[in-house]
Amino acid sequence: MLDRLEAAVAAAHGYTELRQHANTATRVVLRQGAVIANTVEQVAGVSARCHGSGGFGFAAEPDDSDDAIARVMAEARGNAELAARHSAHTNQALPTTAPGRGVWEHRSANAPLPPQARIDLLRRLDAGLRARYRDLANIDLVLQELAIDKAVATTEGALAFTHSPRTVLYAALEYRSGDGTPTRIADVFGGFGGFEDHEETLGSDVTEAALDRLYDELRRKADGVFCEAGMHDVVLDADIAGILAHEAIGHTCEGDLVLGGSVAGPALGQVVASEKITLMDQAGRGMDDAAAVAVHVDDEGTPCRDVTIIDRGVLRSFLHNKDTALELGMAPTGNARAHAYSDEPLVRMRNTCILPGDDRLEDMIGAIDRGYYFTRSGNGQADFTGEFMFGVTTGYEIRGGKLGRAIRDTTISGVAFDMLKAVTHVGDRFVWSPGGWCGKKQIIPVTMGGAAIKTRINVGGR
Amino acid sequence: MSMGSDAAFARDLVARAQAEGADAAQAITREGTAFEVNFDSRRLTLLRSRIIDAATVTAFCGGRKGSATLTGRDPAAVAAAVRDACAAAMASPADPANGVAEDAVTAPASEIGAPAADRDGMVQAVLQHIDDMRLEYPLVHMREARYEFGDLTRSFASSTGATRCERRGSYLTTALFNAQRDGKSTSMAHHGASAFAPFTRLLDAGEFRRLFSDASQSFDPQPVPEKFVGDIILTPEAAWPVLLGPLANAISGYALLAGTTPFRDRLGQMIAVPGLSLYNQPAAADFVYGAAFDDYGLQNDDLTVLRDGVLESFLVDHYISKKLGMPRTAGWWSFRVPGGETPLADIVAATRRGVILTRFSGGTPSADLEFSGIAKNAFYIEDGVVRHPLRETMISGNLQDLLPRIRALSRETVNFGGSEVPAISAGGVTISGN
Repeated sequence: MLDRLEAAVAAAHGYTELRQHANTATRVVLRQGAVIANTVEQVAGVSARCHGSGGFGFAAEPDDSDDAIARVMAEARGNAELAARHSAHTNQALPTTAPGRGVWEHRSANAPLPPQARIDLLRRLDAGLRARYRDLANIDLVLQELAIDKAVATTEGALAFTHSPRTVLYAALEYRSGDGTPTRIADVFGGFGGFEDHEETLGSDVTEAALDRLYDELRRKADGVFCEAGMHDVVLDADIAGILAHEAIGHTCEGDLVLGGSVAGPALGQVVASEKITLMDQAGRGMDDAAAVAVHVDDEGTPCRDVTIIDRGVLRSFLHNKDTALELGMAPTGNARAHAYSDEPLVRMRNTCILPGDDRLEDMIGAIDRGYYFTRSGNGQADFTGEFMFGVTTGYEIRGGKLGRAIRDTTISGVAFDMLKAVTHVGDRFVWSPGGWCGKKQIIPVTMGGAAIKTRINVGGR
Repeated sequence: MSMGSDAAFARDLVARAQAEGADAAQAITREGTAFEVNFDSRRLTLLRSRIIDAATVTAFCGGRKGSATLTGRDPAAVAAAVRDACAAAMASPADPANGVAEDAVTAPASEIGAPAADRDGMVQAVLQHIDDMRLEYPLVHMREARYEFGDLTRSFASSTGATRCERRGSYLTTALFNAQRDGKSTSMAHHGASAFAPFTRLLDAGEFRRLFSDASQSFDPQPVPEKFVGDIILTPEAAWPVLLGPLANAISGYALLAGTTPFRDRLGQMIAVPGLSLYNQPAAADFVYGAAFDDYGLQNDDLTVLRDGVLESFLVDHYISKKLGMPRTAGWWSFRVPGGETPLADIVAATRRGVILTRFSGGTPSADLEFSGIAKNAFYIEDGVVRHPLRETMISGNLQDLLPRIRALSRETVNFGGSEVPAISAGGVTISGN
C-alpha cells in the first residue's frame, strides 16, 4: 500500500497528505450472562488533505482503489482551493519537518484466536464470579479490541505505516443492599496488543484475583459513606493522576486550545506546578515502551517526539500540528492524529503522563490527618480556564494518617495549575492505563499514565 | 446510488448471510454524502467532504447472534463481513430472544430534507457569520465551529422479506466558544442547531444568540458565597445531561435487564411532579435526527413515557421485549418534554437562592442515581436576581429525589434535532463552592 500512496502523492500539486486507514474492532458484551452484543467492524478507506494559500481541503471515501485515491486527492484539492478563495488567512507555507518514514508493525507473534475464544473467556469469568459471589445483582463484561492500521504519505516525503492494536476487558459488578440501593464498581484490564496476546492473562488466576478484589471493594463501597463536600487533602492514586495529566493539563496545552484562549497560553515559561511535577506527552509507546497506544509518525507525516509539557513545575511546551505550530511560531510536535479514515487530523494527545517521584504511598496517606484516598475515576472533563472535574468511583477516607471507610461515588474538581502547585508528594510507582479514550470532535484512543500524588482538591458530597 | 439500489444491497447481504448458513438475517445500510465548512472566529479552517457507505449485517443461527459492519462495497470485504457475522453468531450461546423481528413490514420509502449541499451557499453563510460575530459579539471566540450538510439514506432488509428505506438531508451548525477580554477567558461553551433546510443566518440558529450573550457576561466569575441547599435551573442545554438522559437510561430495557435500576418496580407510579411529561416521538416531522424505523426494521411509533409525572412505559426494544417478556415500546429515542406556562425569566425571578446552568461537567450518575458535577456557563441567583457568573461551583443530588422536586418548566423549549425540552427548575440540590 505504501508504494501506491507514494506514487499517488508524487503526482499531487501542492501540499498533500494521503492516508489509507483501517480500524478493525471486535466487541462482545455480556450482561446478566446474556451476550447482548457480538460484533466485528472494519471501518476502512482513504483520505487526502491538501493545503494551499491558507486553506485546507479534505476528502474521504470508503474505498482504497487507485480510482478512489485519485478522486479524494482531486476533491480535497478542490476543497482547499475553495477555502483559499475565501480565506483571510496568511499565505505562509506550513512548517516543514524531517519526513517521518518507517514501518511499525507491532503485530503479535501469536496466532489469531477464533470468535469462540472471546465468548468462552467472558462466560468463564462470568460463571466464576456468579459461583463465588451469589449476591451480585449484575455483572457486565465487555471485551473490546481495536487495531488501527495507518499508512501515510505526504508531498514532503513522509512515508510511514503503523499497526497499533489494543485489547481491553471492562468488568462492572453491581450489588443491591437490603434496602434496594444499588452500588456499582468497575475496572479495566488488558492493554497494548491483540486478543491473542491477552487471552492467557485475562483468563488466568491473576484476573480472577483482581475481580475478587473488585468484589471486596464493591461490598465495602455498598456500606460506604458520602464524602464531606469541600476542600480536602487527598491522595489521588496513579489511575486518577493519569487522567488528571490528560484532562486537566494536556488539553489546555493543545495548540488549538491555546489559540482558543486556554489558561496555559500566557503561562509558558512560568511556574505552574510544584517542582515535583514533570508532565509529558510521549511518542511511540512511551518511555518504557509499555503504553497502550503506538504513535510514531503523526497523520501529517511529522516524526513524533516526546513533549515535556511541564518540567519540574515550569510550563515548557505545547502540543502542535503544523497549523497551530505555524500560528504560534513553534515547531510541530507530531500530535496531529485522526481517528478514522474519514476524519481530518486534529491536535491530539498520545501517551500523557505525570512522571514518578520518590514518595511511598504509605507516607503520602500517613501525611494526611483528615482527607481522602481516591483510587478510580469514571470520567473527566476540563475547560479552557483550567477548571476540571473527575468522577471518582472508588476511594477511602483517611483519618489520622490511616485508611478508613470506603466512600460512595463522588466528584472532584479544581483549577489545574492551582492544584498542581499544591502537590507535596509524587509516588514512586508508575502505571499506564490499559484503556483510555479522548473525545474532541472525534473520539480517539489515548494512554494516560502517572504516579500517585498528594494535593488539595474540592470534593463533592453531602 | 439511489434509494432503491441501497435497499438492494441490504437484501443482498441478507441473502449472502443465509447462503453462509444463517437461518435468519437482517442488514442495515447507511449511504450518502457529507460536506462541512469548518471555521473559527477569523477564517475558514477546512472544507471537508465525505462519501458515506457503511453496512451492518446480523446473522442468526439457531438463536445465536453475530454482527459485522463494513465500509465500502469491495466484494472481498463484503464476503468477509458476511463470514464474520456468521462466525460470530456460531460462537455465541443460543438465546431465545435473538432473532429478526417477525412483525417488521415493508413500507414505502420516505424522503425528507434538502436534496444536496449548496456548497457555495454554505461558504457564504459562514463568511457572513464571521462578519456578524465581529460586529455583534466581538468578545466571543469560536473554535471547532462548522456548518455541515449530511445526506443519508438508511435502508433495512431482513429474511422475513421486510424492507425499509429512508433518506434524510439535513443541516447542522455547531461551535465551541468562549469570550475573551483583556487576557481573560470565560469557560468554554458548546451549542449546535439542526434543520432540514439551510439556515438563513447562522447567528439566528438555535440558541446561539442567548449563549453568546451569556458568554460575553461571564467574566470575573466567583464561587457561590457558601455551601447551601437551593434550586437549580437547568437550561434546555443542561436538562438532557443532568435529568432526562440519566432518566431515560434508568428506564431503558437494558437497565431492566441489569435488574438494578431504582425504577424497575415503578411502572404506573408517580415518579415526578405532575407537570412533567415525556414523549418518545422518533417519527415526528420536526426531529432531524429522528427515524421512521428502528434497527430491527420496526416502525417507530409515538410513545408516552411519562404522563403528568406517572411512569407509563419503559423503553424496550425488540430484543429486550423477547428477553424479558415485555411489550416492545421504543427502539429509537427522540424525546419531547412539553414546556410549562412560565417564561424562563419569571422562573429566575421566582428563585430565592440557586444556580442557573447551561452545561454540566459531571460524572455519569451512580447506580443509585446520585449525581455531582460542576455547574458550567452558570450564574448565581439570589432573591430572583442573577448576581454573578460562577466558577468552581459543584452541584450534587439524587435524580430520584430531584424529579418530585421540580418547581417549574419554562414556556420556551429548544428543539435539538433529536429532542425538544424546556428549561427545568428543581429544588433541594446541594450547591457548594471552593
